[in-house]
Amino acid sequence: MKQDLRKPAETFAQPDRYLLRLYVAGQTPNSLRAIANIQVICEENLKGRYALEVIDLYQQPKLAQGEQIIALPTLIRKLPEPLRRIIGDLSDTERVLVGLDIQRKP
Amino acid sequence: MTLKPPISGQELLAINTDLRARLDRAEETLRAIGAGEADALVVAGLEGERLLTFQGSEAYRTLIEEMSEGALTVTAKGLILYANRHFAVMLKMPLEKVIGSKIWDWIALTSQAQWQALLTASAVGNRRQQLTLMASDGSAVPVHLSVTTLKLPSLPDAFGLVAIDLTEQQRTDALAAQLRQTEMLRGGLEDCIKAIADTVEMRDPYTAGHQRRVGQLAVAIAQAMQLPRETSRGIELAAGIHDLGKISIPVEILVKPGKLSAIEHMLIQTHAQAGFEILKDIQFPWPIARMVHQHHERLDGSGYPQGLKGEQILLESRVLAVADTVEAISSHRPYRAALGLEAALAEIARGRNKRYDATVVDACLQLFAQKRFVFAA
Repeated sequence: MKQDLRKPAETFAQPDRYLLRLYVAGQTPNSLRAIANIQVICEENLKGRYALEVIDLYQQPKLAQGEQIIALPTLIRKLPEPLRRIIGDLSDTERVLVGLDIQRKP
Repeated sequence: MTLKPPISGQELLAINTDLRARLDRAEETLRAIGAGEADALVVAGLEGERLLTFQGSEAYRTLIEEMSEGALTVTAKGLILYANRHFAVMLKMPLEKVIGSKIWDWIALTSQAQWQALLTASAVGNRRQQLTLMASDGSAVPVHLSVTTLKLPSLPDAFGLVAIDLTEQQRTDALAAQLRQTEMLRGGLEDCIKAIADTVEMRDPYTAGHQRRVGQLAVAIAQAMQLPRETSRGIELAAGIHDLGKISIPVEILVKPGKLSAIEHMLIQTHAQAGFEILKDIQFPWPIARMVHQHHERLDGSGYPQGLKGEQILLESRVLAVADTVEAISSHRPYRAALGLEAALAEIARGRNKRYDATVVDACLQLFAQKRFVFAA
């Protein structure tokens, strides 16, 4: 199932669904790498059961409110709870999978 | 000294969990910074939080963020790594749902092949293409897309895209085309009117040129009265065919020398009504048929065919009436020699505010007094 971009993310709030939010700083190298990396990780391991929002804090600074973000890029797993966060370019797939508590697909 | 109440085991557990979470977060932050995986820090500022970037140029970033075209960075597979706000506005979608999505999702089905061709061609130089995006509400957004291959060490296979929204331009083009067509139709319409005028005058050589000269004077009066340009144009065209109805009158009467009998005079008078009947079903941008119908009406109700009075008569027809009278009296007629311009002007001066509109008469008299108008030969 392809992610429907026109659906609000809230419709993904089901037990096995992942709502991920990646905070980046414009086109800085680690930010661009992080987007590319998380997209591949999600497609390979969460296909059809994730919603990914990428927030450029340069252009949307208000969207960081209450998230306690210190360094960028930061990936936050909003759902399923509890909330988890990983900072960096997400190039270490193993670390990302562990950090997000995702079982790697065989 | 007061003793703090003892903390329960449950509360200790909660504090422990919270501290552990904070420690985890701090360790993760330090690890990422130490490993060079972070690009910016979020720091407190006077006007709220702001980003402290480790590298990069603020000026270029601001330029791309604020430009009024859509700007984006995509991978060869179409993943959008960066998009500016304007691009999200084009797609009517929140920016956070655009970055991280696939460019394919936003390109109209009819343009997918063009997009693929553009990516292929961008390697050999052809980097521009007009194609259609599909906004989140399903509406089509025509854009001019230009592609540049980015050679960044961190992104070996990325493209920089600039998208210019053509919606407004296409709307303007369509309006311009419509305007050109309207101008063409109008030109055709005016040519038809001239052809009709020529036909009438060919049949009646004695009044040849009469309608044209009435047109010249009527326009001069309209301009002196500072009537809108469009109104003047309508008056000129109506003047050019105001005697069209004479086509229904036998030529022998039109060209008869000497005084007309009462019956013949009545017959001549039918030309205003006849002209109206011919023109009334033709759609003009001006009330041409009514102007023709009323050009023999007089302010005091003594005119024909309807005996209209004052404001009942179109302003355009009141202008025509004065121009027609002046031209007719001052030039030769089959039944009499020319009476001259003085006699003509004396007639309208006498009829000022009685048979003829005072403002029109004043404008006309002033034109001749100041020598700002002469009939062309």
